[in-house]
Amino acid sequence: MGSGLNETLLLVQSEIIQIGKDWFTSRGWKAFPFQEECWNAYLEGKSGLLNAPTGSGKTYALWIPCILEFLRDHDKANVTPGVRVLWVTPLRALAKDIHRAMQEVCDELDLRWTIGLRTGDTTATERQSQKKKAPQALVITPESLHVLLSQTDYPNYLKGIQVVIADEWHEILGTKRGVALELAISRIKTLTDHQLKIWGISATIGNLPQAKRVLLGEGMHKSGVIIQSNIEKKVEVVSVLPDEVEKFPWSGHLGTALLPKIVPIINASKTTLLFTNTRSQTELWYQKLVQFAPELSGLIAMHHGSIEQDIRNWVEDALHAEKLKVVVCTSSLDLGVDFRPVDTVIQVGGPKGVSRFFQRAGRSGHRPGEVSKIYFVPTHSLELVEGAALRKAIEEKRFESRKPLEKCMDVLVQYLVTLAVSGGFRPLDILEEIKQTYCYRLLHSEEWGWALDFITTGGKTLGEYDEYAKVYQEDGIYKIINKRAATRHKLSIGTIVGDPALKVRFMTGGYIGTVEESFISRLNPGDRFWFAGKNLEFVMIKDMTVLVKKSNRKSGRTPVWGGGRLPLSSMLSDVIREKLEASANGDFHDVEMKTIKPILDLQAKWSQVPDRHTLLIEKAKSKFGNHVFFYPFEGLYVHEVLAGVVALRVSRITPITFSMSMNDYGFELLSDQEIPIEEALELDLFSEEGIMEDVQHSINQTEMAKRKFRDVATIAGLIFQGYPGKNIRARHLQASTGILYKVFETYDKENLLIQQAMDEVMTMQLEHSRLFEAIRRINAQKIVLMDTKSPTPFAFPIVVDTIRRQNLSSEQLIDRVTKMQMQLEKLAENS
Amino acid sequence: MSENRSDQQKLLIEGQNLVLDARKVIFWQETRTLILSDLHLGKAGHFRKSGIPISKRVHEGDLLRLSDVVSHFQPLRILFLGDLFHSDHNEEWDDFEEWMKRQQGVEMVLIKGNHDILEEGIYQSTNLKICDELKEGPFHFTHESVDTELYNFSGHIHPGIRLKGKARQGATLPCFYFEENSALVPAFGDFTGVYKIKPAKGSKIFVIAEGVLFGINP
Repeated sequence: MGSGLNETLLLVQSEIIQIGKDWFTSRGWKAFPFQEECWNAYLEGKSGLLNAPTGSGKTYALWIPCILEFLRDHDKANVTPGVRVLWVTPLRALAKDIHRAMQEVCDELDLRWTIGLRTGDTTATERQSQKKKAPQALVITPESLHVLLSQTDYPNYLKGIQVVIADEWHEILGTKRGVALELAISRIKTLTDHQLKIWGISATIGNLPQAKRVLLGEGMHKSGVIIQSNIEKKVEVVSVLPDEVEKFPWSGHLGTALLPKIVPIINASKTTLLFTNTRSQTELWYQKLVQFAPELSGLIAMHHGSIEQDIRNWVEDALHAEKLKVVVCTSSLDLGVDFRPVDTVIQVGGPKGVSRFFQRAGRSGHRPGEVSKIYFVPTHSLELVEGAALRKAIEEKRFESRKPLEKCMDVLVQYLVTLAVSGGFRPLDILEEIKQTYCYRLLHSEEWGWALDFITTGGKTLGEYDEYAKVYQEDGIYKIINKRAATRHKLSIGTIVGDPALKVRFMTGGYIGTVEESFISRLNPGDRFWFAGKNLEFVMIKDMTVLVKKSNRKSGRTPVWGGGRLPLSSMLSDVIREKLEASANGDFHDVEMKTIKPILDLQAKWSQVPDRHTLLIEKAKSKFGNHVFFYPFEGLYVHEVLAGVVALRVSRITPITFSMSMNDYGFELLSDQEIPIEEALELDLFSEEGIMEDVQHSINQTEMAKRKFRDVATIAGLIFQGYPGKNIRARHLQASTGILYKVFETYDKENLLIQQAMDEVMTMQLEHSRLFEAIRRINAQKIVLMDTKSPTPFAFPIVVDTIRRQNLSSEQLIDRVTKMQMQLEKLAENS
Repeated sequence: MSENRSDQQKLLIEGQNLVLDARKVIFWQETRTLILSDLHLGKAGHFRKSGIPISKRVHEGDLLRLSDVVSHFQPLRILFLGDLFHSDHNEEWDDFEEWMKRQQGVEMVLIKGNHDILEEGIYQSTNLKICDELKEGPFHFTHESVDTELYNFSGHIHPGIRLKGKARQGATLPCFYFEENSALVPAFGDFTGVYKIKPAKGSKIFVIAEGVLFGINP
């Protein structure tokens, strides 16, 4: 190893880099230091993670070196078919944009590369031509990547890959799509006979080193680098304040009362993105804006995940072309695509997390160094605390972590069947590969054995499954023989599970989008509802399609789509507690806190404003019965479990039935009988003794595990969602997950999928230790029980705008039914 | 409250004596007929064949329950109001044939439901009688409800009802549902769901909760 050789290499590298620089110059740009840093690291064969915000030129930081590498190692004129670059993106919408940018560079450098696009939208003809003549780079979603793995010739197709690049990795990390990508990468690593490079691109999150570890895998992550763009984003948080806080409505779809203040902001801007937290809120805000400011019609549009793709594309194109003044949207516009005309961002309702808010703010004022202004519109007055808390968190750079998932048995089962479909697999080879992933690094041999049993015999305890048709073992190779089972599997690949969605179409034809079955099942023909900004009359359901016609009425319901609500992050709830404590100590320097001072004063008068060392509990009576309110400020999901635990423990004192409600700030127990809360507190209501059992019990009772099981069962292939695009469901194969859960619980308790549903509640929803940290915190707190005449300002939002859960009961079902029946009869007498 | 809360409920319909049982059957005393609907046997097997592992024990449980009610009422005849077997033939049908052989001297009648798609020969090899509907005395038995001059008994929809209380407590439970001219019978099988019905004024509902029946007048 003479030093001369190294020098030659270095020289070559700098010459190669110069090609990239020249291309930048030809466009009148200059490469940022972080871009060049990426080019160098890549060309040295390194893997790593790039931390850079949207609009910073992150695509070029990694796409340019892919090309430079080829120019270094090959004759430019000698382009052979074969995938070299796999660019994984979370959104189909993003794929198009990236694809365009990538192709542009190739064309301008006169490199005859084809860039392929492979998403759920890719046509069969296109897929065929990609198969015949593989493109040099493929832009793909995690789902489509797994569909590739289900094709017989995939090893040949993927063996020439030089690099896998995961765009927007922060969005996929911590989801099952992330796990799917980890698995696919583990496979590609083996297929390639050279050292595979793996790169991620991530926005700022609290756990960048861990994000790198998950993506690169156990064997590679230590040598991987993290490159930061160091492009400082300055964000200014401006809360939209009500004039009179007393008259400001408490809750509901409010904030629309602030429209007179919001419209001037829109008018003063070039283009505004107005983010809401749910698709129904998006529908509502769109309506209200059009009603309040008719001059906006034609300049306003709406964008959310249930609206038809063509309409969404149109909105995106119109945004680029500066044809729109304002777009009302959900997180569907959170990602990537860079809309240069956008100069103002408005957030309606608490964004529930610092990172998300920060990224949304970044959608405006794209030029580095420019200040991004984001307006925060509270939906109830107390939410203004979040405005103050967000500003503080951003100042102190306190960003949430995205926790990666571990041991997802459902994704593993799906993956193994995928490999069984495409020619089969040898278990030990695959086990070795997946042990290299972060997700399955700690997988036990029993768990692995269970997964193999599950796909072959249906599970150990169910050995009697003679007719069970899935995967067979032949000479040590696991594969699928049954053609129908294979087809069914190919159609079910993916990890995004929604409520069964029905297409919405006009009677006269014309597709509008999808609504969830659960919403439409509550409508009768002739009922009206709002969708995609239109008032529609429900005519009938035919062949899995909702037929509608236009209505000119101004009233109607708004569909509710499931899964819309995110819990307050633990980071943000910390800061909220700090803000409340500061106000309890007389610190009202934030304009938000000053605004809600009358409310906090009223709260203090009727009850109190808790500091960080106090857990406030309030007791009140109303016509509904006896209420007890708790305010741990720990976010929706933790409250859901805590409510269950508290209800369970109180019910050990006396047989009692509760209904439970919760929001991000607290939870409520409601019963038709007196709640012995004083006695329960004396008996140490939050004791850590036996807490594990009580938490498990609560998760079961509150149906959290059952809700998770729906996703788990679908991913593992227990629920077949039907053939996409065809109106046929598999004959006689419908069973709700509720029924399946019941059956498994009764007849197959050892089933790891049931266990996984429970684990997911514990780890995903409750963020591992967050629940126990909350309980520990409560135990260190002073508990104050206040008797209040009526619900306090803190309690009111829980009563009126909240998530309600099935009741928890220690009474016999028989006694409960007796009671409900008496009330039913009483009601009948009264009416 | 106590009189409308028990595991059995006597009812006089069109002059006939019926016993409703919380195990989801009706016993017609005058003809010693056991009436039940929607067993959906073989559903677990059908799912297994498609690669979805559901234990057959689910149906063994159904048959055990059925044996219990048979030995309790000692019927001369069992009338299945359809959806006896969930889909194509699988080995769970053989289990059912075994079970039928053990019910010596009991006539078996199946009113065909939309799920009953086995080949004719399979039914014929047993002593199960097959028909599309049955009119007897004041009653007209069908799988799906029909307009008829007689009093109609049907299954098919797996009727259930949502109960609510003042303090927002609630529960969805299977039920028997009686209107002036018709009745709905709950699904007997364990591997079935419940469809929430909207009760009409003047109807009578018997809710089934943990082995107990509750009478309710909406």
